[in-house]
Amino acid sequence: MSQAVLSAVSKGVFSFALMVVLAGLCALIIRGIVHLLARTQPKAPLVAPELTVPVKPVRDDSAVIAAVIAAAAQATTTPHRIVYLAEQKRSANWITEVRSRHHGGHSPYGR
Amino acid sequence: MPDFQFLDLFQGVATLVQSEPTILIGRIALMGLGVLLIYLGQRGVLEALLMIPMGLGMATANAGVLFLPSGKTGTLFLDPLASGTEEVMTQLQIDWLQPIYTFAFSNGLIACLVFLGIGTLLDVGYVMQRPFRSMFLAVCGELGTLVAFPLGVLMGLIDKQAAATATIGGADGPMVLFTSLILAPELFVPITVVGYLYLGLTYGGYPYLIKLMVPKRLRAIPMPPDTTRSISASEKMVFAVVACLLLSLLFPVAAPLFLSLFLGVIVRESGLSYFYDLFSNQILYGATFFLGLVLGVLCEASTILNPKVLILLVLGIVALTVSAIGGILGGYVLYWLSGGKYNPVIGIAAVSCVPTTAKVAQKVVTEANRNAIILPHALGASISGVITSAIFAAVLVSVLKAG
Repeated sequence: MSQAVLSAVSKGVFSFALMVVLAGLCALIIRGIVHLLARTQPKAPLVAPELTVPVKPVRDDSAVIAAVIAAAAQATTTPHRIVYLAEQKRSANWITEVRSRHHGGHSPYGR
Repeated sequence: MPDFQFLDLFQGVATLVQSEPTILIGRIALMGLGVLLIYLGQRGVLEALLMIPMGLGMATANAGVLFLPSGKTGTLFLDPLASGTEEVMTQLQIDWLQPIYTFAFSNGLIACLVFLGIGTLLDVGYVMQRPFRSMFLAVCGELGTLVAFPLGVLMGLIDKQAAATATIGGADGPMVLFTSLILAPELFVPITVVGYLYLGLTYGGYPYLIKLMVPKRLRAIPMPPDTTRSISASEKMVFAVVACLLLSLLFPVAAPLFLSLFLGVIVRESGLSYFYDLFSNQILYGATFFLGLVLGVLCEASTILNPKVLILLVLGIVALTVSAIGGILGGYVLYWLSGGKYNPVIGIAAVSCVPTTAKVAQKVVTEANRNAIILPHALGASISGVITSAIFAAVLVSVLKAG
């Protein structure tokens, strides 16, 4: 083998060995962090065992519809009457939306 | 009838006819390759996000060659050979992709942006739950880089070119781009294109390698349910800060990559939703698009045709295959150490290429046993692979720069 290949082998092996050491160091750091931070965290409160319910509640969409109709019927008897029910259009409120985003834009945790 | 030559009107054809036979064949072949990449990207054989812009860029750059005022031939996309302030400034005002190339490629910005985006996709909690096993597999998954480096020198490359090509074994596109820009800028286009082409093939090729090396009985081993506690966001952030500072302190040459990767991790864990949305969507996919497009455009025949490309093709496939074999062998070591309770397929995920290899591992295992879930373990190995690839690339750059 030529000198250049031998030199490449030695540099490659040295680099690989150094990488192995640093990867091991990374793993040690991770283990250290996990152990250290686990001590500082408050112990989890005891959780009561879950009650077993033989029959699970069933979600009934018709109940939601009934509630909406009831609310609408109730609203017709009050001073504020519903005259029209439809999906909200984005274009109608775009100025408000943009202003809202503009004013809330500096809130780092968003939305 | 105006007095002009027919070929003056259609300069793409004229430059094709008047070029040397090698360039002529090269341009036609690269146009065909570009179309093939689009087809394979569309069919899902290769990574569509990268291959479709790269394929069309490659085909169009080789079709749209014209005579320039200087008498040479070139394109109106970009001139990678432009050097000196005056020439670069002139090209910036002529070639539409020159600004992206000059301001984002030459300095590695595009690689850092992709890495920033990748960082936001990484849940380091998977590594932190089982650090030693993940890092062990990741180290085994770097075997391809170790083998391909001296092999490249043996095949006639200089050590820096061989090392840059060998980093394809780390299976991280941005890392290959970054390393080749530092160590072998004269070959960074073919090295990066070869790297991305092969990385795109891992999804299709690795399942065959796994099935070849791991019998179905072992592929079906279910991993026991996790008993380790879940890692909090604060712990992940502490790890990211410590690792970023420590690695940057050791290898300043790769500090931009470390900062990008761990900043992405911290943005993910900090709950800064505006930044998270920006980096994991617009920045990551925008950078990927321009990376593919500019790499494709750079594959103009007169620029890319180099006898060394064949060596790069061989080295790239050797590096990725040996890394995969190394990862699976690492999986076997853990299988034996655990008394037959560890699924050796997880080792393939250590070849990084996050999250593709982890998904490949889960897919192959599911074929053997529908109830076996190995994805959390595979993701841990895969994310560790990103970290070890960055460390190995940084060590190689430092060693070769120093020597």
